[in-house]
Amino acid sequence: MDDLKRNWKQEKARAVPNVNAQALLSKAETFKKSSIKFQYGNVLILSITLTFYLIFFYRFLIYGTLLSKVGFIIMSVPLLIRIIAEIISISKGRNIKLYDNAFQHNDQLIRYTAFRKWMHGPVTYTIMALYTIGYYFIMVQFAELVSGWLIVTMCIAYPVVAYLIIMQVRKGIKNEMRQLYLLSEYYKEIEN
Amino acid sequence: MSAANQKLFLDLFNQYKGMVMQVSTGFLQGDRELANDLLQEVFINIWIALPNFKGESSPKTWIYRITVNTCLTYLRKQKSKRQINTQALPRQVADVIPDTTVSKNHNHLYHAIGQLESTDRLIIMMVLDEMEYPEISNVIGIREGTLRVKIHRIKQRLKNIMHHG
Repeated sequence: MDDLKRNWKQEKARAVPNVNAQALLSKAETFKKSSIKFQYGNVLILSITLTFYLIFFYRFLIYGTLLSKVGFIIMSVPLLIRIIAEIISISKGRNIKLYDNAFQHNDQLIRYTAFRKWMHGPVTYTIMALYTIGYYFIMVQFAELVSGWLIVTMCIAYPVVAYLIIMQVRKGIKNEMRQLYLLSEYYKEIEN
Repeated sequence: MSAANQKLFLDLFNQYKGMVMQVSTGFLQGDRELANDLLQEVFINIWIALPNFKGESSPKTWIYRITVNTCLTYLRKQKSKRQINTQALPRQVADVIPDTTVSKNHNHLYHAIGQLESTDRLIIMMVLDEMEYPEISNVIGIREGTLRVKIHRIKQRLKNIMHHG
C-alpha cells in the first residue's frame, strides 16, 4: 500500500488538465443558463399550448354545445396538471445537491427519477386518455364549422400522432427504469 | 456572475485541478482525454453549486463530494447510453488509446483501480490521497466503522489484482 501511495503522489505532479480556467468559467456560466432555459422550456411550451386552448375556447367554443365545453375541460385540466407536475419536477430536481455525500445524493436521485417515471408513466397515460376523449368531444362541434374531409383527416391523423407520442413516452419510461436500476446498483455498492 | 464567486472559482480551480484530474484519470483507468472532459464536468458542477458553498466542510471535502457524485453520474450516463457492462468503456478506451505519458507503473495502478467497482475506485483513491477516514466517510455517507471494513476489503482486492491481474 505504501508503494501505491508513493506512486499516487508521483503521479499527482503529472495530473495537469488541459483546460483554460477562464474558458471553463465561461463554459460553466453558459451551461448554467442553458440548463435553466431547458428546464423551463417544457413548462413554456405547455403553457403556450394551454393559452392557445383558452383562446380557441373563447373564439369558437364559448357559445358551443355542452359536449364541446366538456371536451375542452377534459383536454385543458390535465394539461394544467401536467404543467404543475413539471414545475414540481423542476423544483425536486433543483433540490438535488451535488455537494451532498454520495449516499444522500444517490437517495435524492432515486426519489427524483421515481417521480419522473411516475410522471411520464401513469400521469402521462391518464392525460393522453382524457385528452383523446376531449378531442373527439370537440370534434363533434368542430364538424359543424369545417369541411368534412378536414374532420376525417383530423380524426384519422390523431391516432397516428398519439401512437408516436406513446412510443416516445415508453422510450422515456424505459430510460428512467434503467436509471433507477443503475442508481439502486450504486446503493448496493456503497452499502456493501 | 459575481466577481467574488468568479475569484473563488478560479482559486478553487487552481488549487484543486490536480486532485480532480487525478481522481478523474483513476476513475477512467488512465484515459487522460476522457478525464479532461470529466474534470470539466466536475468544475461546471462546482460553479453551479458555488453559491451554496457555506464553508461548513473544508473546500477539499466539498469538492471531493462533487467529484464523486459527478464521476458516478458520468458512468451512469455512459452505461445508460451504451448499455455496456460496468468496466467495458474505460477499458476499451484505454486499450485503443495508449497513454504514452503515463509510466508503466502508473498505468498498471490505474488499470488495477479500474478493475474495482465504481464506488470502491473512488474510495481507494481517497485513501491513496491520504484523506482521513472521517473525511472519506463524510464524502461517501457511510459510517466510519463500515468504511474501515470496506477499505480493508478494497485493499485486499487491489492487492490481488496487482499481483495476478
